[in-house]
Amino acid sequence: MNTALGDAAISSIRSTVSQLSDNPAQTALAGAALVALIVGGNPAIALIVGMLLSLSLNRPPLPYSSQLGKYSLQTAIVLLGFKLNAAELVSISGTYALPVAAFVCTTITLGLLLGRLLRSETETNSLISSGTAICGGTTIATLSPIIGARPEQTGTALCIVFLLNAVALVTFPSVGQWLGLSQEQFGVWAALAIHDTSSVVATAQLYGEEALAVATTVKIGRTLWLIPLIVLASLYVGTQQTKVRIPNFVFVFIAASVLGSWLNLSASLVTAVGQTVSALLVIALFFVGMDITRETLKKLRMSAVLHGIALWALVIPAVLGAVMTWVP
Amino acid sequence: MGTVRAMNFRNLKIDFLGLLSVSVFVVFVSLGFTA
Repeated sequence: MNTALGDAAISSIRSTVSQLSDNPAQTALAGAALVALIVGGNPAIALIVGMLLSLSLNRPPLPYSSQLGKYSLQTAIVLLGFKLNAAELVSISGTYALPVAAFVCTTITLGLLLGRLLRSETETNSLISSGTAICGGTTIATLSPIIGARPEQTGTALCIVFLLNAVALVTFPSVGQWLGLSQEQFGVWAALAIHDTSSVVATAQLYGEEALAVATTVKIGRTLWLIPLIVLASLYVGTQQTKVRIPNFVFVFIAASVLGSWLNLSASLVTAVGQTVSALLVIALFFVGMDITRETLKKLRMSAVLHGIALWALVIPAVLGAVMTWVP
Repeated sequence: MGTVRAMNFRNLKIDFLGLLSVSVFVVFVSLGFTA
C-alpha cells in the first residue's frame, strides 16, 4: 500500500513539474500577476485577471488552480471565524435564521417554476434553482450526482453561477454605496443574493469589516440548508447512496469562532488575521477566475442561461427590498 | 431523475459527521425561533 501511495505521490509531483515546465513563461506571468494582485488587495480585480488569463491562454496557467482556490477560500473563512466572537455568531444566526429559511424555500420554488416555464431540462432546472437558493457551485456539485445529472448539465449550471458571481463581485459594492446601504444591510444582501461563498465573502470585504462579519455568518447559515436538500433529494429522487454532510470548513469555522472568543485574541493579532484573510481571498478569487475557460463557456445552453439570469434578476431586487425594509 | 419515487431511506448514509451536520442545522434553525 505504501508503495502505491509513494507511486501516486511521485506521479502527482511529476505531473505538476511537467505542467510548470510545459510553459514556464505563462506560469511566471501568472505568478507575477498573482503577487501584484495580493499587494493590490482587490479580490474583484483578481477574479477578472484570473478569468482573462485563463481565457486568453485557453488553459489555467498554474496547476491545481481549483484546489488552490478552494483551500485558500476555506482557510480565509476559518480565519474569519477567529475574528468573529461566538456570541456575535449566535446573535447574527438567531436574527437571520428564519429569513434565510424563507429565502431558500421561496427561491427554490420560484426557480423550479421558472425553469419549467422556460423549458429548462429537469436536472439543469434543479441544479440552477438550488444553486441560486443555497450555495452556488457547492450545491450544484453536491446535488449533481444525487439526481444523476449529466456532465454537460452540471458544467452549464456551474458556468452560469461562476459568471453571475463575477458580475456580483464587480457591481454589488457600487450599488450598495449608491443606495447608501448600512454595513448590516449590505452584508445580508450579499449573503443571500450572491451564489457562492467565495464571492459573498470577497464582495462584503470590499464594503467593510462589519458587512464581512454579517455576510460570512448569514452565508454559512444559508449553506446549512444543504442538509435538508441532500436528505429530500436522496429520499425522493436519489439515484445513489449519498452522505448527509455539510462542507467540513463550516465545522472548523464554528470551532475557530469559539476558540477565538475563548482566547480573546490581541488587537495586533486580529489585524494580522485580517490582512491574511485579504491576501487569501485575492488568491482564492484569482483561481476561481481561472476556472472559467473557453471550454466551460462552450458548454452554456441558452435556456439554462436565461433561467439562471431570470431567477437572479428576481432574487436581487426582492432581497434588496426586504433588506432595506427590515434590516437596520 | 424525472419522476418522484417513494422514499428510499437506503439512499441516505449518515455517519458521525453527518449527525453533526444535522445537529448544526437544527441548532441554527432553532436559534431563529428563540431569538
